[in-house]
Amino acid sequence: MASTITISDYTTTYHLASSVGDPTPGGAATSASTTPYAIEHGWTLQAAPGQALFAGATLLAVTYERVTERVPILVAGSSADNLAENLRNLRRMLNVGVTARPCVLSITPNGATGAVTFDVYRADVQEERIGDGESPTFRGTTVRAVVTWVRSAFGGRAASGETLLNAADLYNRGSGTPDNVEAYSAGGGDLIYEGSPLNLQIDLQAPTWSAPGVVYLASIYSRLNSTTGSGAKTTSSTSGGTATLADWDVSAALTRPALKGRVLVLAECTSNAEFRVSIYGQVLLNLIWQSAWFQTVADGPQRKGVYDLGWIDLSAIRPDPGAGSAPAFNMRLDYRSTDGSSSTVTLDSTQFVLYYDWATIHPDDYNIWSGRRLICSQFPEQTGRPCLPWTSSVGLTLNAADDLVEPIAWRGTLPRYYSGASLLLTWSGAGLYDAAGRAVVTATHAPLYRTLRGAG
Amino acid sequence: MIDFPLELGFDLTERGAAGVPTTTRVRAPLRRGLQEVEWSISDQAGFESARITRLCNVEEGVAALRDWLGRGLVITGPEGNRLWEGYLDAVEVEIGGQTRSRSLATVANTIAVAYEAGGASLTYYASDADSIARWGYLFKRFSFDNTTTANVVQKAARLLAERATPRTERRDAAASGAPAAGGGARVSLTFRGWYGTLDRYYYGNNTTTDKETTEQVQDILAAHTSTVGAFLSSDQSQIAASGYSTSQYVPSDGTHREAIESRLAWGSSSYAPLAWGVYERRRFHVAVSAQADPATIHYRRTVGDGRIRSATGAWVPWWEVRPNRMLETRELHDPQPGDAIDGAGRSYIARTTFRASRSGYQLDLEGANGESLAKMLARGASYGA
Repeated sequence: MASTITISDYTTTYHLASSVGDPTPGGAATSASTTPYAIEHGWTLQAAPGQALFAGATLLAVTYERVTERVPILVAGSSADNLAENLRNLRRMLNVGVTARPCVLSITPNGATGAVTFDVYRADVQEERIGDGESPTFRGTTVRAVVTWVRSAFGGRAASGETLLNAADLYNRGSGTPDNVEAYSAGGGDLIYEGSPLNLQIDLQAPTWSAPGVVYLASIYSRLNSTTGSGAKTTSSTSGGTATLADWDVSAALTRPALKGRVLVLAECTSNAEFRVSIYGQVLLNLIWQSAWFQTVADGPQRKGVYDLGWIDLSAIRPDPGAGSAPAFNMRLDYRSTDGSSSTVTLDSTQFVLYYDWATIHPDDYNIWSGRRLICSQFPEQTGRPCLPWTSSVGLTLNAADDLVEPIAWRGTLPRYYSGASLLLTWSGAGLYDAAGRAVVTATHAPLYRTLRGAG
Repeated sequence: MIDFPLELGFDLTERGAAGVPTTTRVRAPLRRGLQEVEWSISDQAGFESARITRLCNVEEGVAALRDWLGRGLVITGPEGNRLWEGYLDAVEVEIGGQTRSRSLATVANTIAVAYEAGGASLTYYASDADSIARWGYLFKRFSFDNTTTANVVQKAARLLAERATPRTERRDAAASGAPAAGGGARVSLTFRGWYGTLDRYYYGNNTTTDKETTEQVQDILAAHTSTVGAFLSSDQSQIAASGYSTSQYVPSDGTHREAIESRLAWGSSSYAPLAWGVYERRRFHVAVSAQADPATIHYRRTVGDGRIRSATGAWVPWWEVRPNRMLETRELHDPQPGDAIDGAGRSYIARTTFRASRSGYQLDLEGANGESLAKMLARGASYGA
């Protein structure tokens, strides 16, 4: 089987690799056996170079720009007019993206299983004579041309991504089966260790979705749920007291410096109570991190819910002397009265999360409740279109009839796929917290390829 | 894989009647075509100024120039926390070598004209109700030498006619050779922190009895809201008591900002300087300056390492670094106790300026004596031309 290289404007497809070796003068470009085009066999697809940002020896981010590459191609015409027509058709097709969707470049090497598709944004085509042959400007009918196109940094699959979560049940609780975490199936592509695009479809179920105050979405490495230290903590002291929480094993962060930490607290307070979480080194009890003082949201009585106390940088952790090689955090809940009268913090549970990406949606402004579908889209899934990341991700809510309700916005970074990661979904509702709150989630992933796809 | 190396969120909201911020979101693809983002935060304004530069099509550029002034902005970071808040003060659009700009800084719809007539010092006030209803109060002061009241009335009316709406400034470049094929625009959006709204109206107080300075600040903020509108939050829980009392008298030819700063300049009852500004959710903050306790270190650096770390060693991303903090560079620290506030080893951060572009990040830290252009611009001028 010959290699297949095509370009398409979603209506017409031209073959740029001839199945018979040489281009066919006067042939139809819509068939590989008769195409007048033939990319020279020495051409090799160019991988997009990544630009790395460092702080000292720490890699902070990698970005990729579009690729500009030169592609030598033979163009054959049955006459001077036919040659000009073939060159014109090539230029038109490759530049359709100036006003419409980009031209789609699809490549399947000889013997490979899958096609990899790219967006071509624009191109220049310059013809030249072959060796000592006739110049096309004078009389030549078969020429060598150089196509210089600007295409997407990555290639992808066409039309749809791969399903990593298929209508998975998630409950708004840190324990039990199911709970608020679901592991992704293994995904493909070149970027599984860098983070690659996910589309999330979150169907909100009865009985307890009623305009939640905040929705948390994350791609996580691990989540520890603990009830250590739970119960009512009452004090009238403005200095307050301290309760010991579970130790948190963060040894994974030693080998995965990109991981960050997060603490979620399920609690409620009286209106004059505050709490915060403090993190200490396990043996030396030195303070590593401390959240701000927090009050639960007033919704008489103070609303019980899941509260995010903020992100924790783990890059400075190292094994405590005497604690062996596995560092762990000693976690404490501090609580106090704001006015010197009796106050109570009732702690239900704490979740300690090691994560890659974290996003929050504040749907107080939006209509999110039972029967709605929440969409977070990082790439298109449309017939024939490469599954490549949007410039800006898209979020929206749909009603039960799949009609658009409104777009939504989020803060932070929408979850991406990482090898071995899981999705965490949790929320705080407008009413009292309900552990039976449920959502059904489907996640599709866009494998991205620097050059070839093969069977991946 | 993104082509901008920082995952930022931009929440743009509509300008309400009289310029007051609303919660109505505006769908604007500010991330698309993003070239550069920059903001500054200072210890005497809070969120001070910000600028977003992006490429877009001509229609978007024209719409921004025409409709966007006064809109609110919240910038959030990759972890979802708020990094900067303010409102759009100026728009500049470049299309094919032609530049157009509009700014609220050029608007004067409430003016005070000080003049001398018949040997007396007088002040004449005039305003444009239509402009106020649209943009909110934008106050400017003018002064004239010996003249008549009739002349001042005439002059004030003419100034209002000229200045009551944002003027479009033009800058065109023409040169030989064929112009590049157009189609796109380069838009620069300049934002001011909400602290800048404290310059929008004049304030005075004839009461001469003493009152704690931070309580006076609370009164001035309440008066600002009552007169100008709810630009700032009514939550005053972040205003720490100064403990120092002084006369409440404020001459009536100044703005709310000038009145507030004159109170806070007295410092605390422990003779410590104060730091203040408008921060998250438009709340006004007052606290004792970190300069009062230079031995308490908030940030640490190591020579040759561009990262900033907290006192406990955690990395503080450059986009989260705040002013009113003490910064220590360990290797440069004088081992002798009792160092000066600003020694080789430690320094006070009065202003931070963060910049992100496609080529990376940059963070500038200024001490208390740095008077940058950004600081002067962010103060705004309540004096007319």
